[in-house]
Amino acid sequence: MPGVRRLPLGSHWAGVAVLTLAIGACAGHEGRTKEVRSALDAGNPRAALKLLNEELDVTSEKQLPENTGGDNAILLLDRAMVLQQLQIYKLSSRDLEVSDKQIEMLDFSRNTADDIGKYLFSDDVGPYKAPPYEKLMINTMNMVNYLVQGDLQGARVEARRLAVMQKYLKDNDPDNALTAPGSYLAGFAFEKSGQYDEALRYYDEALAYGQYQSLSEPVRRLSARSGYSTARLRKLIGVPDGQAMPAAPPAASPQAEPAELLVIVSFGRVPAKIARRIPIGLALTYASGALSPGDQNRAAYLGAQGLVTWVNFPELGRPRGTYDTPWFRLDGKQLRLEGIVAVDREAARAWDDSKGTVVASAITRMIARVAVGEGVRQAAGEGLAGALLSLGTQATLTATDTPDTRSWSTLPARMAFARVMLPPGTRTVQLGARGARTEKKVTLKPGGFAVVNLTVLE
Amino acid sequence: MSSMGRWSALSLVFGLTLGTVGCGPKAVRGEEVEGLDDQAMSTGLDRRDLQKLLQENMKALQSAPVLKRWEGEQLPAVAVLPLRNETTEHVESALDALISDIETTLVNAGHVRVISMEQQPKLISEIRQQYAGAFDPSQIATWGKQIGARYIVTGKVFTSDERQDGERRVQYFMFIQVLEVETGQILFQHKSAVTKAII
Repeated sequence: MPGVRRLPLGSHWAGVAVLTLAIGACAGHEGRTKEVRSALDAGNPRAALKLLNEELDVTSEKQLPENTGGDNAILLLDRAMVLQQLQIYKLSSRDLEVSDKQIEMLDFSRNTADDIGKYLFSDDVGPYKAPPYEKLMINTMNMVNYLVQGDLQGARVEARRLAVMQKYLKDNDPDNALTAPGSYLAGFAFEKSGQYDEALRYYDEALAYGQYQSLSEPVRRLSARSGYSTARLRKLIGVPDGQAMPAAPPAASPQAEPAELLVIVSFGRVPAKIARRIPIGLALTYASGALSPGDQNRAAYLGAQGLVTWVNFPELGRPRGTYDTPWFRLDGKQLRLEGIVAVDREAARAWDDSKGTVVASAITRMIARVAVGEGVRQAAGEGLAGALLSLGTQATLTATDTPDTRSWSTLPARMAFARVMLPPGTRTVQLGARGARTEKKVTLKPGGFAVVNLTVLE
Repeated sequence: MSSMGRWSALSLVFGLTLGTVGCGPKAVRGEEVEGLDDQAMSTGLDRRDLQKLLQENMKALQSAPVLKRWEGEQLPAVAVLPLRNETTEHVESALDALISDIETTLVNAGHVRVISMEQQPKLISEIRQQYAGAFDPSQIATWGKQIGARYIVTGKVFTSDERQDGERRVQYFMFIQVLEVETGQILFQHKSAVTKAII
């Protein structure tokens, strides 16, 4: 039999197939986190946490995995958000900080072997490159953790880290410098630290994203104590250019100085990336403009020959909870929450921007696979064994082509804030979203502040 | 290319890709691996950075006029308060480690009597709360009086942090101050700097 006679050569391919399958044995990120998302959808964050611990190969959320880099960095981001939902803020902070460093290292990494792997196998062979909105949300969500704990120093560190990333994005990718929630919270952290100029600068950045009415009172209050002013800040509080800022009201006695309550509700989930197979014709349409004319022609030729009919690529799923309306009660009285950001829309926009390139990459891989298969057929001879080896090689390579579904899929879809100035004393705060609720008793000291958070990732 | 050669080349490509999967990590001691303590692991502050920052400042203190003043005062009481973190990194614990280093340097120099803050857990907690919130520098004198110190050694660390394509540079500036509790006057101030980067 030809196959038997060619055994020495075939043994190379057996090795190749084993190596290839070894790489392809890992399920895509979507597969790894599907049960986690299902547990969250079922309103069971404890189960989601347990699953993430298993996936990270640790027995408790108190532990960090042996390797915090690679795709574990994304799993740590996921675990951080589940911990935030469970109000375990210290551990959530730790996971976000570790991931922040790792995501940065992955962002800077360049590796030829990764590039070859991406070219032949799959996009998710290479290091994860987080889109801009995810990078900015790491520091934003960690500010939530620190503020809830009343740790302004920690919040300020996150605010400064956010500012570094925002500056970088403004210089390099201004359309994706999502600033609203992070800048809003950074402003709050600096305001409560008594650094009013910095606070106004951050509030001004937040106002570039949306006309937040909940900032009117703080901006008016701070403008009376700071020389910092911009056209946006003036517009918000209705002070025309050239007119003096309102004077600060007479100070209350130290014991009666009002305190401030900030509530944060993060709810729903951004759309996860899911693996899809799309017809080659549709793929070519998506990739038009991102594919070289040569590759476009080769792909069209292979499609016409019937050699290739489908292309594997990741698609954005549907967001969760975007139609929900969160609520806030203070001492039993319903108060208004202001929508701050729709993270799900930012995720969709970022995906739309990169979709063409991702599909083009999938098509290029498909062409490479057919070329490898053809090489095997020629090397193995024109007989049946050559054809079978060629088909087997292509099938193996196709099986290993797991679309890159990596993303921070436990980010909340929406964030809403409310701020209230109150006389010192103990208050009852109730927050609800997506059928979940939390109730906290907070004691506001004169001139102090409290932050109450509800994160619901259903 | 011969068919054998082509297969070998392809095998090499697969091998290269698999090469991204490395060996597992293992625990080692600093003295077992030459230069382990010299290698920067991140843009945070490590022992070598802290020693450099501190040594420069303490060297400057040894030749500062305040030292002459201390020599004429028969071992005045000095307390070392935590350094404030105004950086882009969560280096609070690294800065806390410096308190003992500063105390050791002062004790060994023999000019002052050092009041250990470890005996003042309540005050340390209050100071940390102040640092976390709206910091009021006039509080330093109050704390000094509370613990019976005539002088306070404290400081703060700032960063200038920039990022470009594929690179990030963090420049740390550490200021060490000596304050007179009675007047709040700054009697000594010095700055040292280190740079960390990912390039």
